[in-house]
Amino acid sequence: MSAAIWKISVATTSEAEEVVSELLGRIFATTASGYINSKTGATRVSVYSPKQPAGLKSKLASLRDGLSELRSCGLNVGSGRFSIRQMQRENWAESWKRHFPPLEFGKALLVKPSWSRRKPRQGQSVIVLDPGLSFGTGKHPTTEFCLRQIVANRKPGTEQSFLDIGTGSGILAIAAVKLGYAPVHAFDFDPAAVRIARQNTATNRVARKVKLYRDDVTALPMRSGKKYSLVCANLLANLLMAERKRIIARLAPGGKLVIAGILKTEFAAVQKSFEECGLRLIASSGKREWRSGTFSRG
Amino acid sequence: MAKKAVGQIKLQIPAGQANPAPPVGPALGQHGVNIMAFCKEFNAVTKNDAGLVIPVVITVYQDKSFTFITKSPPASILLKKAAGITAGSATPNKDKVGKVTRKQVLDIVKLKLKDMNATNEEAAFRVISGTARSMGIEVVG
Repeated sequence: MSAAIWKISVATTSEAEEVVSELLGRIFATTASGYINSKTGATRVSVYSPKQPAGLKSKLASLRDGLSELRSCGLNVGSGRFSIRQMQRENWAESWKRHFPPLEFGKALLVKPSWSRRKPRQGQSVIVLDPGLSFGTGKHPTTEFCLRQIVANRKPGTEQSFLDIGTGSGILAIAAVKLGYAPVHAFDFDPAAVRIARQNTATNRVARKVKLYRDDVTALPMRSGKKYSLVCANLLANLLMAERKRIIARLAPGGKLVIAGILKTEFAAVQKSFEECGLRLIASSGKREWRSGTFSRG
Repeated sequence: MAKKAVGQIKLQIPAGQANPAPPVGPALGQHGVNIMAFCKEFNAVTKNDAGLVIPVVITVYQDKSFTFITKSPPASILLKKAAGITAGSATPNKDKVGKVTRKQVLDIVKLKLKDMNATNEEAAFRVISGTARSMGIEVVG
């Protein structure tokens, strides 16, 4: 693609984001977009123009006046510092795909998006998964740990059942089927996640081998007749601790429990709470701000 | 699963007409969001709102998956409707193009409060009044 597009941005606050968007959009006669960084709260609103905006100087003067006007209303518009830069025009429908290279989990598993031409190694199982509305592409450290544990705990030639609590995109359940676990059950609280996971199991031709359903971990019976060789619960620390008895009730004697979604700062408390229930930590790994663990029962 | 949001993208898109052109393409593309999946879902969700501009907030997670919610109409549209005008002023500090009453602003605040960053009605009132003034609409009464 040729030629650049112009991006005019204003640094503001989350409180004034909407009103500054209105102002910027009106001055440049287009729709503004906003971005709020969840960690820092830094907020920017931007407009894009296919060419250098006509009368740029007077437009910027109007922007300064408009921001002053908003300040005089008592609004905290932040620094109001603006930037003007040219961006390379891209094929936006395609260019985001560069963020999603294929991922290998040992020699056993390859996760790749549908557009990737990457060939699997001999004997390597392949999961085709496009990023989208539901969580879990294999890129996230917590999902990555779970996938590595599913690979590491598979004993070929033996029967091993699998339960995925909070399945998201369904990636863990699909991996379990591909690696030979059976039966494989998975649920999520979010109906949209169940819908997306169904699509993903169909895409990977394992829909008949995964029992997918909507359920709530906080509402599961405290006792369960169904026990699983491997249970993955990639949730959140507080939820894992609060519902540990419900989760452990689904673990077969000698079974393994993989828990993730835990910040490093929270891991010690989570570990203690599971060890108090008779489990033993046998594997753990930290990446970025996350730490995950695998526990053994018996 | 463990969702950790890295950011929120806010856009206003005509119902049923999301496509990868700016502002959707660059706004989403630079954060690694699957643009076509978003456009498809947004267009499906808003297919019955033809003719309306729909504000949408897209939450992007660490693994670049996303969720989105649609919101009430933009304050500027509600203000123009309340003031009975079709466009705001190009020079709002000089040329006033309409008036709205405090009650009308409060009605808009009530409609928009759940969707706003403002923490209370008073802060929301300031935001909507600020929007009105920046459009050349006076708040009276």
